Amino acid sequence: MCLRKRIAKRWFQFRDEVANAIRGLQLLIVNLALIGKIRSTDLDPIIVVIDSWREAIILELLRITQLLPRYKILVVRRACDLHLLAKSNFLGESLLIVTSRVFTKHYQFLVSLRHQRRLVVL
Amino acid sequence: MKVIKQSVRPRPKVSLLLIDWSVRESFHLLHYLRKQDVDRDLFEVIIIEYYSRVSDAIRPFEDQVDSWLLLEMPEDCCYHKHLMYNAGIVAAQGDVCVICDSDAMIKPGFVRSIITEIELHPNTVLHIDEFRNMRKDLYPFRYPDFSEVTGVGCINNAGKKTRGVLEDTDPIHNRNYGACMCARRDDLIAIGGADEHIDYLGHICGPYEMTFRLVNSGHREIWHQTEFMYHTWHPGQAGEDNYLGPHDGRHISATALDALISGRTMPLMENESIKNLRLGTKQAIDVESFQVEPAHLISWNIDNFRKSGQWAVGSSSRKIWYGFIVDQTADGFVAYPRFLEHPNFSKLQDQFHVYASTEVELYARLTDLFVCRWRMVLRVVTLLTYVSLALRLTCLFLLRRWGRLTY
Repeated sequence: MCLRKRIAKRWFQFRDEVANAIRGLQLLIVNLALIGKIRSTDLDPIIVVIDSWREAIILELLRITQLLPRYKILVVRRACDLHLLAKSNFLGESLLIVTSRVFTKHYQFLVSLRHQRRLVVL
Repeated sequence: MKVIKQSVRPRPKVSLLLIDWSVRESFHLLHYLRKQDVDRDLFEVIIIEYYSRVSDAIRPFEDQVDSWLLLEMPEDCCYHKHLMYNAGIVAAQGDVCVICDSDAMIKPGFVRSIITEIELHPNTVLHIDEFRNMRKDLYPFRYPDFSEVTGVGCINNAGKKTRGVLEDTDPIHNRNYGACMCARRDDLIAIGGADEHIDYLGHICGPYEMTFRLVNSGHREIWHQTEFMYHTWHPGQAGEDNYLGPHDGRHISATALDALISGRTMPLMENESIKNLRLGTKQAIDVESFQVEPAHLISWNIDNFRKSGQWAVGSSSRKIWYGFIVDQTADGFVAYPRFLEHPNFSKLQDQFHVYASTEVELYARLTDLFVCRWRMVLRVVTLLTYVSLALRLTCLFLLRRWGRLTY
């Protein structure tokens, strides 16, 4: 493959991956804000499972500035981390929110969890 | 549709579906099927050609081909692999359908492994991963040893297994879902066969779309741990210069991922012949009467879909606007936040649904919902994401350069 084609291929991959990352994060933030609205009186905590420290920092900043509701963020990078959290019933939290990227990365495990507890995929 | 050859195998257990769209230069899988260690009547081989080409590459192995179908689609129609899968499912007589690469090498126990695994685990969908060798001197295919394919030039050999099978994180991107997929024919018919939606046109699609829906319907996905396929390099293997439908940036269909996430089990567009089989309106459908939706000939026409401008790579046909799903209804358009899809929140539909008669009006209403502060927040988040990912890519590039210079 010539150099020009290789660069173009890498660029398209980068462009598409970034577009997906941005779309996913926007979706998460908007939905978290709306969930926060309806759960403002509800004391059940929310637990958000993501796979990126960058996204975790952004979400934490938004939470500190009180733009988003109170929630606990769990960053899961490996499948074993997820199994470990599941063993502790995700720290006993009630509403579990996972991003679509986390879900597709670990879907073989999370599909079964979808029927067992309150799991929202965003 | 033209039937060149029709299977006369009495009662095969496995039907191997091999597809082509006038591109395959080699069907050497057939050579390895000759050497299988099971009774030849236990499996049948079905070749499905999308256009009208009678491939010369098949001629040397014609004795191994049981059914040979030409769908005779017009030359100006883009290829759709799922249509070929459906034709294969209709034509199959075996209990188990196997959709696999026709230009891969397999060991003599391949078919036996599939039969054993499916019998041991009835409610499953079985996948077999592939060792991939990138050596260009193995092209044109010259029947190398298996050890040669797993040796120098192999990009995913981790001991005696593929790296994808060993790693359990992100299987979708680490394993080859298109290499070989095996499922019971009845299960495939029960989920409406392969989805003939326009999003799966061209290179971005594969049997994993059915795998995801089978998983959603309660089947267990398993990967064979000892049986593998062996693939050598050939030009255009990664879909270069092919039409690409909506994907996630790493060539996995965004629409298929959406099906997995939403828990959908039925296809967005079901084939009429498969539907007849599913509903039992016709118990046995003659292969020659396999139906291709006439509308496909227009919508899959290469010129038509290029003009339509609906192909923004990365977004599926399901529109998402800042976390809101946009759907078309009988009265117009509706938008709702994604979390409302969860049954726990369904009672809140009235609170969050936004209706409009036209799409433009809907977007205008949604824009009004966002106060200035939120618009600013989302812009900042977008910028931060873009900059951080660009920095990461630059660092990776520089590290790799540095590694090459110091090596």
